[in-house]
Amino acid sequence: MIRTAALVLAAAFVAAGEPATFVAALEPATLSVRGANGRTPWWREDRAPVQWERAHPVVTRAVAWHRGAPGVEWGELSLEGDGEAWRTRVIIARVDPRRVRFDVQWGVDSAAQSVWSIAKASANVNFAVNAGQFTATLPWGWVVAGGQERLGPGRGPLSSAFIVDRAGTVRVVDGDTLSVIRRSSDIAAAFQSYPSLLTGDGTVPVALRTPCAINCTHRDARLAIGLDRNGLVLVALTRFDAGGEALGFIPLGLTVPEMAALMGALGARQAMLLDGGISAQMLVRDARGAARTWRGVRRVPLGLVAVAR
Amino acid sequence: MLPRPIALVLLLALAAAPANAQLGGLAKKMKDKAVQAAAEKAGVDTKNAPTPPTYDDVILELTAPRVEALLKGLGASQAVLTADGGIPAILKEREAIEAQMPALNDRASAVSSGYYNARNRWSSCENDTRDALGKTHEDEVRKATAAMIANPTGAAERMRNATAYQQELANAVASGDSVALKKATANYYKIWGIDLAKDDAVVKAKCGAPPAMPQAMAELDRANARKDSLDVKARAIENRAVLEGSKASGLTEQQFAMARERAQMAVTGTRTRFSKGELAAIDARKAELLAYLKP
Repeated sequence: MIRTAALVLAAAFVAAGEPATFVAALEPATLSVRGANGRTPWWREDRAPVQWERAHPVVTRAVAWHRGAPGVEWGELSLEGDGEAWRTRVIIARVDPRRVRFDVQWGVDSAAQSVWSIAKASANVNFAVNAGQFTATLPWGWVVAGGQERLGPGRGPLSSAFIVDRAGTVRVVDGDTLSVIRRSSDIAAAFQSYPSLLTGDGTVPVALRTPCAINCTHRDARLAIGLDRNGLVLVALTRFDAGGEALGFIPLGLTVPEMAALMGALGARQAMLLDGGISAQMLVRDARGAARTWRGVRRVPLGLVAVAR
Repeated sequence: MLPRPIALVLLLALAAAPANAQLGGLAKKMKDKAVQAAAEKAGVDTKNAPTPPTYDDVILELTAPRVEALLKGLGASQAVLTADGGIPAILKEREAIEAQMPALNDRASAVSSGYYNARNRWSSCENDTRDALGKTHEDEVRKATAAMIANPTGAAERMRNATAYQQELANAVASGDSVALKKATANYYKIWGIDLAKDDAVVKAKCGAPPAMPQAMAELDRANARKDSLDVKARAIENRAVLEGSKASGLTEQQFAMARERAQMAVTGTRTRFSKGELAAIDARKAELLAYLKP
């Protein structure tokens, strides 16, 4: 429902002017990289790959990477899409599970209130992001935090789960495999989210292809997590890029298929969306130990953190 | 997909300051991204005075009475979440069960392979025995069929019975009643002269009773089932909280969610999309709102 609210809110924002004056012919959506030399298109809705077998060089070359605390890098990317996505900044974190240990933090207090935010991250946390989706208070779907299962799997056709085993290895699996996986005693942390953006080896789910089986035109501030072919965890957070950070999290940005394309172009094999909009928040510790933060507006029931091994 | 120039509408809605007023006219002519770039170059300041959104049947203006209604809804929603212990109590119980899981798992693991081996041996014996019995029954059915052909009156009665027992079987399957299912199956087979109770006795005599699940494994199953039922209960409370919040506020679920989302933005410092009246109404109840909408 929160998602619906964000959708309507976004619609209201764009309807505040005089849309009739600006009606343009519907064209396939596109995504371009914005750089010093102008814009470079790299994705078109009507020619979208159904499988991302490798990262897109136009996109990866455009990311300006910064070295963070051990095991963490972050970068920024300036994108131009259609409609209100015409100025979209993407903050990307690349986290190496071989150098950090992921855990899920439960953020529901004894009064059933969501209490987690990146502000709660302790000094040893090198990376933090809000995890999963939620309805009223509780996270949707499966949650294992600190080695303990907090909630059982949710059922839905386009869900994925982020799983950390006791050795610290990370994998992203389809949500319909969880009834067996959850019984394993080797799960240290896990959460479930939706929709899946990429499955298997970079495959875009059928429901996200044209013609789309879900709402593929709604634009919102987005947050996605995935795994690349080197086993690195990729997290991409979009921000509206025309009003500074103060307006960064207003619910304008990419569509779901565009986020799938972005994650594929960044090199992800599997990926899923997390709660974006005013929930989206991320912390990256830089090489000097200072926290770089992209704040959200509200506290959430679940966080994913990484600390140095 | 929204037309590209809508971004300009947004941009102008966000700006709307006197210094940029001249861009209003320009905006109407902007039809492509080149002009968007010009707008940026012209120095549109998106941080200027807030402009309220267009209110409609989902986005309601947050007047003082509506803020009051929202607070009632938030209160009702919270009450559902915490009534009779509510979600916190469920989470506490689930946490307690979860804390026992490593020990339960260990105890179950210690006996599980012995149990599964015994169970497999017994199943294998049962299958072999029932296979052998099945071959005997095939002969019996052939004989019964021949008898039916020889005696049409008796055949008609058997067919009536068969239809009745088939219905009995279907009902048992539909209701998931395993005892009724076993009974209906036995009745159905009796038509063909097969006594399944005798088969069970033969199996028992040859293979013994099926090995009982060790207590440790049964305890683990019970704990898992309890966790799952607590999840279902918690989700149901969540859904009810949303419904009750909407009902108490007098707003639809969508309106309630939107009002909550917008109030959250306002009380946590994102005040760019509100009228002065809305901000005044929200600020007047800020402390109460913050109790539900913690930043």
